[in-house]
Amino acid sequence: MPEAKEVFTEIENRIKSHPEKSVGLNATYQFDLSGESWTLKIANGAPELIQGPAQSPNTTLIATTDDWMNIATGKLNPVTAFMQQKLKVKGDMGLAMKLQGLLQ
Amino acid sequence: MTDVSVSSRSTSEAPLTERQWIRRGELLEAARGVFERDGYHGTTVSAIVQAAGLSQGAFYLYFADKKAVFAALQDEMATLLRRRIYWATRDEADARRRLEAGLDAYFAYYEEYAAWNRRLTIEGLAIDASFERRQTDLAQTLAAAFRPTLEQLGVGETALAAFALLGIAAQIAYWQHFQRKDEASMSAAALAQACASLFLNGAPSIPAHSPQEGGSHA
Repeated sequence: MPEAKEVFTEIENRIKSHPEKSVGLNATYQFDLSGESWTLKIANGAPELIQGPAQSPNTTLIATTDDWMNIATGKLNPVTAFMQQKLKVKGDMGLAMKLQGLLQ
Repeated sequence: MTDVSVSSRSTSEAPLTERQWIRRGELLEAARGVFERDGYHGTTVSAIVQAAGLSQGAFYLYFADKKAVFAALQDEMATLLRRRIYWATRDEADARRRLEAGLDAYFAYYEEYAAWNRRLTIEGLAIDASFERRQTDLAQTLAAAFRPTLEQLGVGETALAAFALLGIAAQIAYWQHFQRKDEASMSAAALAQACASLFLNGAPSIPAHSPQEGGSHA
């Protein structure tokens, strides 16, 4: 199982390597895991990863670290996780779906 | 043939609320169950909404028709498989073990979603060209992921070999879940080892499988 930092770095790299998917996107995502927070800021499509919480996130995704890692590595379907309340989303749901699209 | 949209909602619409997101998820989960049970052609929107406990009106807020739901599921499942193989192989330095790790991820995925994979293979690809294109895109991505490993293992024609590997793995997975009779099933790891041996060293290299090695799956 990779570390959370590796997963978030991979997310950042994936967005950078497919800039066409995030053109014009401005969003701040906060990920609240078990005892740690990560922030992914996307400004005009350019991602920036920060360890720690955001000041005013548009969307906050909440999960245990294990569940989040399982989602990120394809072992847990995000739709199923959401239905089972293993993944909770606060704020703009549309941006959460947009993030899912960026990572496909 | 025309492509299908994943959702009937346009991107200019207001963001989904949490309740709407849950409903969309309920429809997707219910639809997968109905497709697996009744097949694509036997599935109706009525059956999907009944399984989800929602109204027909609710369905059309999220999807244009059953084809759009099937397309959304195809995308969703492809993403899961790509992620599994990527993370299973990413940090494995040894090429042979990396190949087996990727195949293990593939067989584990197939085992978890066997009924869906069967329906997608038998019916899904014939719905229209867009479904075949999406599956071809997935195969291209998986083949590209395996090619550096195959090159390290001394394979010359890596593109041909990668697609051959995927074909062998798909057939083994289908046999494991839907064709084998009166034989003990094998775990994903055992299938991965056998598939890698078959591919790299030929059929005589596949170790005999004892029932004790069998997995817990169907």
